[in-house]
Amino acid sequence: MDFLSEVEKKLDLPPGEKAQVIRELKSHYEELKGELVASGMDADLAARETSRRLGDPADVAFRLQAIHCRATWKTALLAAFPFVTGILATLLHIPVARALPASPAFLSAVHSYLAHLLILSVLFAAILLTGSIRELMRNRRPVWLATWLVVGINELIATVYLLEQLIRKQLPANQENIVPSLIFILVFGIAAMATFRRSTKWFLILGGWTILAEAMYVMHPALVHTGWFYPLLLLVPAPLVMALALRVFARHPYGNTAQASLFLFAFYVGLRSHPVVPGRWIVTLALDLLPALVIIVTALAYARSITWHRKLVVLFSGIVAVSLAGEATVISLIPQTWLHHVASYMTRATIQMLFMLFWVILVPLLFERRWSDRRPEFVR
Amino acid sequence: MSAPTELVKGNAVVLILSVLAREAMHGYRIARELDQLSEGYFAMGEGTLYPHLHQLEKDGLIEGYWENVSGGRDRKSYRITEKGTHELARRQAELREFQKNVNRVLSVAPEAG
Repeated sequence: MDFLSEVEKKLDLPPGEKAQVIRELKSHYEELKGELVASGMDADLAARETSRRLGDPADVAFRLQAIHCRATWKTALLAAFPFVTGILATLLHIPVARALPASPAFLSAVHSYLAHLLILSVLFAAILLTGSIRELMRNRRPVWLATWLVVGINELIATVYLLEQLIRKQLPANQENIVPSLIFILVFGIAAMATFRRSTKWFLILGGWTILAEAMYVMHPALVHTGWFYPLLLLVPAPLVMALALRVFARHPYGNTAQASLFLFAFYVGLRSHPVVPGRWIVTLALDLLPALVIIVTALAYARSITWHRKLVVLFSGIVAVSLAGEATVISLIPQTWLHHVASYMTRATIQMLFMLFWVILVPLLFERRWSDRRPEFVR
Repeated sequence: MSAPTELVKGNAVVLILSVLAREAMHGYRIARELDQLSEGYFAMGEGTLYPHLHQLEKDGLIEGYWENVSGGRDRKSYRITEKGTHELARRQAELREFQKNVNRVLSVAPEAG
C-alpha cells in the first residue's frame, strides 16, 4: 500500500475535510514523483522513493488528525463557557424562584427575575453573536463557534419570549392576548420559508405548517399551556436551525458535519436548560441544571476528541444522558405516583432521544452523503 | 550533515514563516526551499511539513488557498498573514538573542576534539 492510501486509511476526519488533506498530499506526491521520473528514475522506483521521502504515513496521519480534530484545553473551555455562565445565572436566581407562588412577593420577584434575565440575555446575546459573526466573516470555524452561535441565538429567542411575558403582564388580568405569540411563530415561519425559498416543496410545507400553527393557536389559545404543544411549536424554527447548521458548518470548506451536529445538539439541549420559568426551583435544578452540566461535559469531550467518529459518539452519549438523566431526576422527585410516572417519563425520554438522534446526527450525515458530488473539486 | 530531528521540529514554525515571508508558495516548494537554503541541513520527512502548515493555518499565522495549475490540477498554496509576520519578527528576535548568548558561552570553552 502506498503512502497516500495508508494516510487515507488512518485519517479519521469528516469526508470533506479528509478529501482536502489527501488532495494536498497527493499534489505533493505527484510533483515529487514527477520530478524524480523527469530526472531519469524508473516510475516504480520513483514511487517508492517518493513514499520514503514523505515519511511514516501513520505518523503523518496521526499528527494531521490531532491538529484537525483535537482542540486545546483553552478552546475546549471557551466552547463550554456560555453554558457555565447559564448555570451561574440559574443559581443566582434560585432564591427568587423559591418565593412562595401565593405570596404577593412572588409577583414582584417574578417581575424582577424577568427584568434581570432580560438585561442578561440581551448582553449575553450581543457578546456571543458579535464574537461568532467576527469568526464567520473571517471564514474560520473554531470549535467554540458552534456553541457561541447557538447560545447567542437561544438568548435572542429567550429575549423575545421574556419580552412577550413582560408585555402580557402589562395587559388587563384574565385577558388572553395571543398577538405576541402569533408574531413569534410568524417571524420564525417567514425566516424558515425564506431560507428554503429555492425549494418549492419545502417552501410550501413550511408555509403550510406556519399557517396551521397560527390557526391552532388562534382557535385554542389554551393549547400553548399544554406540554405537547411546545415540541410542535419547535418544529417551526427547526428547518431554519437545520439550514443554518448545514450551511454554516457542514457545507463550508472549513467546517464539517460533526460541527453541524454539535450546533444542533447545543441548540436543542440549550433550549431545555434556559432558566425562563421561575417558581419551580427544585424542578429548575433537575431539568435545567442537569442538561446544562451534560452539555458542558459533552462540549469539553467533543472538543478534546481526536477523531471524527469519537466526536459523534460523544454527541450520541450526550443525547442519551440528557434524555434519560433529566427524566429520571423528575421521577425521583415524585415518589408518590412512581409507577405511573416511570411509564410516562420513560416514554417521553425515549421519544426525545430518538428525535434528537435523528435530527442531530442522522440528518447532517444524510445531507453530507447527498451533497458529496456537489462539493467543490478540492473537497470531494 | 542534517540537523537533529527535535531541533528541526522545535524551529519548524520560524523556518516555514521565514520562507513564506518572501512569497506565497505551496507545500512542495516550501520543502524544496528549506532544503536548498540550508543546503540539506534542515531535511525533514516531507509529509511532516503538512501538520506544521495546518497548525500554522489554524493559528492564523498563515493563510491557505486553492489555485489551479497547468494540467487541470489544484494545489493548496500558503501566504503569511499579518499576525504571522509579527510572530516571525518576535521569534527572529528571540532566536538571535539565544544565538548570541550561546555563542558567548561557547566562546569561553576551549575547542573540544
